[in-house]
Amino acid sequence: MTVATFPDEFYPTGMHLFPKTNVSGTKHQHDVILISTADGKFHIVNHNGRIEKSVNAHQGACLTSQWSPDGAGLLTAGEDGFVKVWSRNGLLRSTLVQSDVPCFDAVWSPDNGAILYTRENFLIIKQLNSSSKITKWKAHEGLILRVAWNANNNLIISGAEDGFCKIWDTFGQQIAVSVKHDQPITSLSWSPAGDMFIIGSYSLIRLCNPNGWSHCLDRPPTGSIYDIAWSSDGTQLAAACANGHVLFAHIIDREYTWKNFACTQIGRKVISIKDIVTEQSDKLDYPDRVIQIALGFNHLVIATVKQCFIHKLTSWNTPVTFDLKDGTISMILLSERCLCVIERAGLSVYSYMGRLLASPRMGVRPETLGRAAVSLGPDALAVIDQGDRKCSYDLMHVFDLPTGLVVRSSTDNPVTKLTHKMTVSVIALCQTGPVSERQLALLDYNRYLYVVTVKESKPKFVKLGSQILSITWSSETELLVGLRASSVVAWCCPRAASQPDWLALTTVSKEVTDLGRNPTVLSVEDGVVRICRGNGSVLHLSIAVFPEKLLKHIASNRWQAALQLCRTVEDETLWACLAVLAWQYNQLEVAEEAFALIHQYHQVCYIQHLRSNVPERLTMN
Amino acid sequence: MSYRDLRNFSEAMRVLGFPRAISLESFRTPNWELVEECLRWLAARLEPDAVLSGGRDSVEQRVAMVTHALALFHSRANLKLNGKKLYGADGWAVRELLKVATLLRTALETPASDDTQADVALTYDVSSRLGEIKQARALSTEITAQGAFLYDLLAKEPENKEQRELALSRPLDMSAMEASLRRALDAVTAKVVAGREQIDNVAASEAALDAKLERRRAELQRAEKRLHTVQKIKPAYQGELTALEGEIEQLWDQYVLRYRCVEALKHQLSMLESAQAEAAEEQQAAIMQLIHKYETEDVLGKISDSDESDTSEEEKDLSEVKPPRPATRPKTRLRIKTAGGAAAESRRAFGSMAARDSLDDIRDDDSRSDTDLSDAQIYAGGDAASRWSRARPRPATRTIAPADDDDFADLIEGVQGGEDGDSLGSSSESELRLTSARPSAPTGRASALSDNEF
Repeated sequence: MTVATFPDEFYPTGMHLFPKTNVSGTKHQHDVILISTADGKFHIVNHNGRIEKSVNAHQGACLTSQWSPDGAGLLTAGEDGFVKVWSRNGLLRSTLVQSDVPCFDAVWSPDNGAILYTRENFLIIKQLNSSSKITKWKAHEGLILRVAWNANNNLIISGAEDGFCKIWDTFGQQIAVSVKHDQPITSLSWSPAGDMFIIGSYSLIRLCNPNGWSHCLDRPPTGSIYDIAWSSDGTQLAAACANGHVLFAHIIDREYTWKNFACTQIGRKVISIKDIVTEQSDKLDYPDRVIQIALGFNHLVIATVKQCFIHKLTSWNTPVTFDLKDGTISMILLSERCLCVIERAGLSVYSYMGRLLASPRMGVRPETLGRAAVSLGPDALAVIDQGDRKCSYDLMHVFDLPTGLVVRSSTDNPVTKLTHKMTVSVIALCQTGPVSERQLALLDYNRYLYVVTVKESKPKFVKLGSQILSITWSSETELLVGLRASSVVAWCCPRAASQPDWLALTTVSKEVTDLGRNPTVLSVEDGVVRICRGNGSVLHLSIAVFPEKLLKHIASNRWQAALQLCRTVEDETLWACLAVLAWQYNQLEVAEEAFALIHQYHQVCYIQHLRSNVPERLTMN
Repeated sequence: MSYRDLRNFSEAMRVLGFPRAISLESFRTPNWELVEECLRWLAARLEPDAVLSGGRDSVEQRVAMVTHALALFHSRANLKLNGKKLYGADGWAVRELLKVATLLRTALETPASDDTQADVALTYDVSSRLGEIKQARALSTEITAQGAFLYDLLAKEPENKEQRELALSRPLDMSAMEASLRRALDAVTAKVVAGREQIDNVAASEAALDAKLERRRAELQRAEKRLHTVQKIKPAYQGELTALEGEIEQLWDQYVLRYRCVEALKHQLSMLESAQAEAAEEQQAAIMQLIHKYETEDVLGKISDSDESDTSEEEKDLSEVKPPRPATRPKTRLRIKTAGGAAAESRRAFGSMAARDSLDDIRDDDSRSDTDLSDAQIYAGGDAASRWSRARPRPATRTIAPADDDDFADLIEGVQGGEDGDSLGSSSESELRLTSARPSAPTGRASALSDNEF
């Protein structure tokens, strides 16, 4: 279907669709396309193909043009070396850069506060508000053709004529380099979630991980790929090829595992699921293409364009189905009792029966939320509010979710607001325990790990450690596992943090070499940690098998079994865990034995004093 | 404009396989070297034998080269290029070069499809098409036959022509024509009616099929419902089965626990036995030493006694007791070393006979030293025997084991008594026990090894 045909002398060099923001009142502005052309103009074209405005911007070709992420303005860069910023209506606001060499690409920073542009083989970040702050570094040996900047992980990629593609952080430090390609890199694009990016070169298209290694490579006979754009859900992409073709691609072969289940997306609409224990396998077909998959807590949740399917893993042929509000789903989170679906329209929490439990509201744009900024517990949802980046503190919202059968209106979900004095980068909610003792672990910008009990009237941030790269709670107990540069640390009782010596006693640490750059903890199950190393390989590491077992015993209130386990294993950490937990749960007898075995004699004396003086019924309640 | 041209040019050259990558910056300043290289390369693509004259050193050489290239492109490819722009070697030269490159690129793209078809035609497999060849032959014969037939018909043409003309010249009868037309009309209307009917039938059959479909669907739904209900029903005896399963599991756990306990106890028992055996052996050795010591002392004492010339009765007793000892002791040792059943038998014979006799004698006696001596003798025999029997492995079967143990305890008692030096009854008892324990000894060695292994 042709919407519009432009005249023959109209040679576009770039296109950009108006960013979809939730700002009300600009609805008429949606679906506006910005096109830059080789004759130095840029055109604002509405959705039915009518050119609303043409502005003469540059001498020579206008090489790139881009709307700002908030939709307030746009920038153009031209062959004459100018980079200009325009208002939304096409009025010149300022000329940011003047030079004598062409600027081949320029992009906005995700927060609209700066721009990144290329100058021969240099990359330059220029802040908009103060002209003095310029970050400039030599990035490549050849002419830089393309740059891209992702909002979610704040990383920059650049591609040049020397055939390299490099990943940078915002300070100009190199994070990774691709292999050398034979031909210049002619296009680059981050996926919206920032979990992968794609490189186009001459008859070559390559999908990469943000750590720099390559997922897959294809050599379509299309000539150079001049431009690549992702769909907003990050599962499809379209590429403009030099021989006049448009190439469409779909991300498949995503694999998810949970306990004995493994599921793989094998086609646009087909998912294969396999139970490794019983060797049962099946192919699930969906009416639309599959966007998001989540596997865990005995459920498989699939989001297609229009609907969401919840399969029980015991009988995966009869899914529960509900309709999505908006087609662009960016994330699915699972917990023991509910699931959270993050769409552009907002966050919504559903039960596994497909009933809407809550749809919390906040000032954050849901599509900018990364996986680290949201966390779902069995009865709570925590979100980092990044709305105020300029302040030196961060706000976190923790929403209580209705747990009973009574459906409340979505507005009266009580919200707890927590404020941390640093920028928070990762949050994680504990997956077990009663609501009143819900714990939240958070990593701040300095990589310090804190734990806070949400429901306390005066939340106290207790510091557990520093230099932590990634954290995860165990899905069944209160075991918290963190990753350092070369070791894995398991905090068996994060609540013990109030007493430093107890914390040290209940912490298990294990050295692991060559984790690579930016490793993450994927999950903790039965004391076995799954770590995704920098090169993408998954490492299974048994770190706290006995503590986790102990925690399970204690969670089900089987103190005798816990004692027996400790006596069998005879490990000091285990005894320490038992001691701390027994102390917290007022099991004085158990605590006495355990404290004696970890040489905390003053505590033993104290307990004996308590037991002799305080009536039995008080201690046992 | 130069950006787009340059990008297209570099893309075209890349498609054509130009060995160097052409940077988008390369023609910002006049770049004669690259223009020359591109010209030579493109000329070689157009005309493989052509070598462009001229060079890069002087103005004349460059001009000569441009003119030669222009002439070549004009004659071979019918392309008119602007020499002035080409000589400038800047963005405008790119546009001229692009003309040549586009020509070559289109040439590369278009005939590709023809070539592939020709290739397919040339390389077909004859063997797989034998059927087609046969068919072609049959067709050719048919064509000739048809040709002959046609020839025959054409030969009849003159006669037919006559008849045709005759028929044509006949005057037309209007009424007959009308009638025939009407007939034709009727036939056509009949056909139409038939067609309509068929259409109606189709609609009817469609409805019938729909009804059938509906029925089947309803059946399917019913069947599905039934399937669901059937799936929901718990099979009979399921509860019982699960209960029994649980019970079996419990029993199995119990069994395993007991089995392990029994095995562990067995193991401990064997350990205990071996420990006790070792202790007994040590004690025996100690006793032996003591006995030898006493013996030697006694002998010395007797020598002195005989010198002093004691009573003849005592001497006689001594001589009566003494002779069997040197004769029997080595013999028993020897025999036990060979470890046969017969040896055991003989030992039993000796034990019961000689020792009893001597005991009786000794009991009649009242001299202390003699009793000691005979006692020692008995022990010498008994000790040796008991040591051997202890050193021999334990009996294999459990039923014997307890009895053996009792033996052992008695033996120890006996030995302790013997050490005290005056309990004759117990010593004889031990001897008797020895004989009773003996029969099991020969069979024990191999099985006892396995016992130790356990």
